[in-house]
Amino acid sequence: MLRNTVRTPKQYHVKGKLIFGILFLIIISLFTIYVSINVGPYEISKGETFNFFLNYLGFENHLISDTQIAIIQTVRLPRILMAFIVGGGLSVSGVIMQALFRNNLADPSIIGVSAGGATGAVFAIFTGIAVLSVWAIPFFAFLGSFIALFLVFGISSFAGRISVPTLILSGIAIGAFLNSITSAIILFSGDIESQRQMIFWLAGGFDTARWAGLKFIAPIVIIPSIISLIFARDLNILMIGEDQAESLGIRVQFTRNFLLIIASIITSVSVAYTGVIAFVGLIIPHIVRLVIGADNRILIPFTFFSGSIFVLFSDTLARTIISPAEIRVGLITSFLGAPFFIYLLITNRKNFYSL
Amino acid sequence: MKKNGIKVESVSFSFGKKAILNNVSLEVFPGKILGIVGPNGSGKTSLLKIIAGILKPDKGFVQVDGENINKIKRSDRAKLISYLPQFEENHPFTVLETVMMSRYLYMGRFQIQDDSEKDIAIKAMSRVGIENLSNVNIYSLSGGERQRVMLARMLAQSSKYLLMDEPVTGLDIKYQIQIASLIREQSKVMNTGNIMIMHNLNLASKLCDEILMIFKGKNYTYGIPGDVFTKENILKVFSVDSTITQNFHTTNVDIKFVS
Repeated sequence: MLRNTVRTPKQYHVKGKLIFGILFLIIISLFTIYVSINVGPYEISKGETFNFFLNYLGFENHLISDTQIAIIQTVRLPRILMAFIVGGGLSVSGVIMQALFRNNLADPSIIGVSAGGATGAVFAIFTGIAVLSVWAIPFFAFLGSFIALFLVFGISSFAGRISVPTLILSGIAIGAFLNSITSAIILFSGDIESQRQMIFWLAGGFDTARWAGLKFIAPIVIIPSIISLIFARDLNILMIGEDQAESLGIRVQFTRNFLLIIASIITSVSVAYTGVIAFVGLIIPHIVRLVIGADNRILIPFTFFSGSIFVLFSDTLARTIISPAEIRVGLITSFLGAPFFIYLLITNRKNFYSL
Repeated sequence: MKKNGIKVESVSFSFGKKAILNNVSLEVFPGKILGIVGPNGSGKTSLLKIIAGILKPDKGFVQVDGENINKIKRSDRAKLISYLPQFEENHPFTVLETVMMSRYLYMGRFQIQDDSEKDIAIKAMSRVGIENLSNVNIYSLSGGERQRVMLARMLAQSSKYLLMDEPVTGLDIKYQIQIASLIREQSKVMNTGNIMIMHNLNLASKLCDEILMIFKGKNYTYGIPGDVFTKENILKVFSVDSTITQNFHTTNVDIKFVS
């Protein structure tokens, strides 16, 4: 029988396995963070990194130089944590979008958020506002994202109800429109240096990450991610159908709108500060779902850590492989992510479904 | 004493300008099965959704155990009434995960696993013959198997009233009979009140205690199967000629369609 040849995702109904899985991901996360601190153009050994943390915890020692402390403190650590948090946030946002839209292609950029952010950012560079403050680009990117969101939601909502097909289509249309504006701004910007800066921003990166930005972004990404976990079982029920969800006691319209806003906030804040990190929000949820199954209560935490590890790993590669120069992290995520995803598609051809 | 049963009183409903239901009333009590029959587009599904509380009527009201359906708290309503939609589902969950979703109502928000809840789901699955499909994904099942998964989830919901939109459509003859007797058993043993939309008039005649025949959004006739399924009614509502044989000692009839 055909059915016996269909491999089913492993069941993680046993609590022990769930806790083990999360612990495993947390250990891998810590390991990736630790290794990422070590590598870079300025040499810092593993022992010195260890001493940095000892110092941090109050065990004073002088086995690490002040320069090394300064580099870890002001450059590497905030960048690493930023990559980690944004990677997790974008992936969780992808899980929510795919579940709500019941569409395999849904990712955080599908509702025009990324395109809006890009337009805002190049606008800030074009007008020269960007040189006034380090917050100018994130602010305008955030503004752009929200203008795109309001347009898309405005087009697709009618009398308090949001039509999902209209939302996806208007998201794509607004996205295309904004992308054309972005391209136009880049073309008409005569200054080579600002053109370079615009394209740099579009490729996404964490090189500008500092504590100030991190302190602002971390709560706006982490708190909505935790809230989405609270609604994870409602998201499960929403995936089986609207009428069925309604009859199982879910406030369908409210829950859907609320989760959409949650996912949009995560995405727009991430995009505003780091630019467009391609592909993460689309493939990480798919990969994790293939491995552990579709239950969002388990999928959301697993996806957060998997996305974090993937983006941090990509960023570490981006800043080391052609050291002392850098590649943009968006290039690495696509370059690593796409072939791996295609490999999974081929090996799971029978197993793939339409959400 | 608390009133028992579902009471639908003079319900009217329209989608925009299109009138769907006009002054429909019905009543069903625990332990009874009410069948709704009528041609396509006569408003059967809208009526069932209104009874389930999914749609709100423009006029009239639905009472469940004496309380207006739209005033009952959602989670309480779900424990009181379950609804089986007509369309087959497609999603990436496994059979067990799908059936467990109706047990969320009885579990804590962060409770991922509960063996006694799982036992209830497995029991419901074995009643419709899908217990061996536990870890199979919905998208690799056939239409009939999916229908039985949805039935299992409805049984696992453990509600007092069951609303079913064509519960046996798409099932092979063995499972049509098995599910029909399962619904009968549920109504007698668990004392559930049942409302089901049916297309097979003969099965409706045998299974249901009462029949509501809907035509163009109105109550056409309402009563025991023997009174509803007459040659005249079937000709008027379905535009099909038929011969009716009354079965002795029962309220049901055999309908033969003449083409």
